[in-house]
Order: sequence, then C-alpha cells, then structure tokens
Amino acid sequence: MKKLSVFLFLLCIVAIGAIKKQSSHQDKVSSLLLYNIEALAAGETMRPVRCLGRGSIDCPASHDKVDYVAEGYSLEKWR
Amino acid sequence: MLPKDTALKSGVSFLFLCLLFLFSCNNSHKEYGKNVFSYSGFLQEKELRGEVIELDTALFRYPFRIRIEGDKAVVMDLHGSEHYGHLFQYPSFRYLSSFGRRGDSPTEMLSMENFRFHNHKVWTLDANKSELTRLDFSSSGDSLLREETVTLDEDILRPLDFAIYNDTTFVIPDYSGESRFLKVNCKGKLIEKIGAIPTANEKALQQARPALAQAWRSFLDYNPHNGVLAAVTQLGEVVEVYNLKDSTHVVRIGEHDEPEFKVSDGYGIPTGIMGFSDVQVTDSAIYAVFHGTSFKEIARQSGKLPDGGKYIYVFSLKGEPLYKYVLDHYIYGIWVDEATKTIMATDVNSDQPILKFCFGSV
Repeated sequence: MKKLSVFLFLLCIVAIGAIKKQSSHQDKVSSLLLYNIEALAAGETMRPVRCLGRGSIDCPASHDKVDYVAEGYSLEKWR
Repeated sequence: MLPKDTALKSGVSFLFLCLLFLFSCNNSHKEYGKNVFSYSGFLQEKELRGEVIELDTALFRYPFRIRIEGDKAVVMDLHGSEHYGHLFQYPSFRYLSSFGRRGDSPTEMLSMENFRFHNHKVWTLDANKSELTRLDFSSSGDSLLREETVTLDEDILRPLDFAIYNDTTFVIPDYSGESRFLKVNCKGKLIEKIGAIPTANEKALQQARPALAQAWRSFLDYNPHNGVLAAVTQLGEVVEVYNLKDSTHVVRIGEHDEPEFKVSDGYGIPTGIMGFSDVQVTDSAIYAVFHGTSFKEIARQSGKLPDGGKYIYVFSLKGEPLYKYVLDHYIYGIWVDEATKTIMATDVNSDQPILKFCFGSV
C-alpha cells in the first residue's frame, strides 16, 4: 500500500510538472508572433466589422457613432 | 474492515486530494485587486416621473449631453446635421443660438464627443480632428464664439471623452489601453499617465490591449471641489472612482460584470450589454445613467427598441451604491442640480427631448 501511495504522489508531481512546463512554454510565445499567426490565419476568410444604425457606440472601423457593431457579412447569429 | 481495504481507501482519498490540488493550481479564476468590489443592489429604490420641457424648435437628431450653468443651458447633438451644440436660456429653454458647425473646414467640426463649462467658457472635444476648442460667450451672452483650438499630441489615440482637471490640464481616457487616463496640458501635450484598466481578463490585457481599451470605453466626470474623478463603462457595469486629492482608487462592478467583447480584425466587438451613458460627480455623490440592454436584443429589434437608459444610479463619493431611480422615459445625458433636487435629461427618442425629474428626498 505504501508503494501505491508513493506511486500516486510521484504521478501527481510529474503531472503538475508537465502542465507547468507547457504553460511556461506558452508564455514564451511573443504577442507579435501571435498577431502574425492571427493575420495569416485570417487570410481570405477575414470577417469584416459592420457598424449599423445610429447610436452612441464608436464604430472602431469608421469612427461613426452607431447602434451596434457586428462581425461578418450576416446578422444571422443575432437572430 | 480489513487493513488492506483501509489502506486502499486512504490511497484513493490521497489521489483525490492530489487531483484537487492539481486543478486548483491550474484553474483560471477572475482575480481582481483589493480595491475592486462587487455590488448587486442599492440601499433604496424610487420611481421618478419626467416632466417634458416644451421646446419651440426642432433642432435635435440625437441629444446626447446637457449641461447648465447660471441662466444658460447647452444641449449637444451627437448626430447634428448642421451644428453639434445648441445654446438655450435657462430655465425657459428659449433657443438662443447654435455652435460647433459640422464640416471639413479648419473652423468646423467633424464630430463632438462632449463639452464642458469652465470659468464661464465652453470647451468642446472633436475626436475625429483630435482637437479641443474653447468658445467664449459674446458680449450679449446669446452666442458662443470660437476663441482657441488645442490640437492633441499624435500619441494620444482617439480621445472619446474629456474632463477639465484645472485651468491648464485636461484628463482624457487612454484609448491605447496602456494606462487608464492621460493628463494633457493646455498645449495638447501628454504630461502623465494614470492607472490601468481594472480588468481580470489577463489574456486580453496581454494579447489584445487596443481591443480591450475599445471595449472599456468610458464616460468620465471630475469635480474639482472634492477631487473625485469618476468613470463609467459604456459596456458592462463598472464604476471607477479616483480621488485625485488623496490618490485612492475604488472599482465597483455591478451584476452585469465588466465589458464583454470579442476580438475581430483587431477590433473589440461589443457582445454583452449596453451599460452606462453619462456620469456626473456632484459635491456629495456620483450620478450615472444605466441602460442594461443586451446587444443581442438591440440587434434583434433593429431600431425598434427605445434608445437610452431607464435608470439613474447614485453612488457615494467612495463608490458605494446608494439609490436607484427608475424612470418613466429612456434617457441619455443628465445634468444634476442637488440644490434644487432636479435632474435635467435628454431623450433621443422624442421630438420634445428635454426632460425634468425631481428626486426630492428619497
């Protein structure tokens, strides 16, 4: 039984170590690299920002004041 | 029970505890600072009925802000067709003149985000031209004349609101997300950065700061008598109270939480609710207009919903929730006069857009 406890303890230590290593590796990825990856991934399937109506929300694309801002060509997801 | 069974049971318990420890190490909790508090209710709630002020002119497309000083009232039209600002006699609301002509020429404005009275003069902010303009009253007092323009530094990104700190300094929200506010001198130069966006969204803070700053767009007001600078978020339900005299800072987060957004094409797209639309710091309290309508509902109704908020929230100068006023109209901008216990408000849905609410004693 003592062997089982030691085995479980070591298993947990190894698991924690593996997760920490993975998260520290993620921290090393620069935000510039992420922006570049996002830009490449966006590519031809980039979804434009659409600003609709008249309101007080500052449209990030046109800088007009609009009712709401939507992503993509369709408003289907809102309905 | 056999000794072997007991040992097995304790082994399983040990494994369970280890797994619990493992998950607690890796779960991402919302972690706020010690100066961040949540609120879910107010000490008192009261319904207020608005009195419509009859105007003899139909000037407004989207009356966004109202301020009163002495016997003059100014109403700002966010979508003004010819002018953004309109001057009225107060309390009669007799129309006097308009200012802030819309246009491309150097003396005209591309937009007006807000305006402020200061030393019996009016300052306006044009975010699209990145300019602050001072207007003085004419000798008759019936019109406002353009006197001085301050062009803001290029490193001040898209100024969407401003407050006047003193005779030589303005406070502007930082749209870059690197800090919370910028102190800008009367030449338009950045002199100091204040605070940080009080978000628990570490990922956005590290990877999408411009989009985060867009989502945290806030309206602000500063009262030089008590040194309180208040900021309320247009999305979500966050009230920030900075006391610039004793350098204290308190953040209050309501039940609609901090601004919700998603990042698309580098922009912050609002996804949660429409939050606050105006704020005023008086000598004894902070008044803010709250909407609470979800963007999903706004989009679904596509223009059929009344625009504005039906609530005025009142907080202490330390940000503690005090009163909730439930209104019978949807409003946008407010002007609170504590001496007469009245609130003047604008209603973008009506052709008679000026309202008067009396709040008396709660």
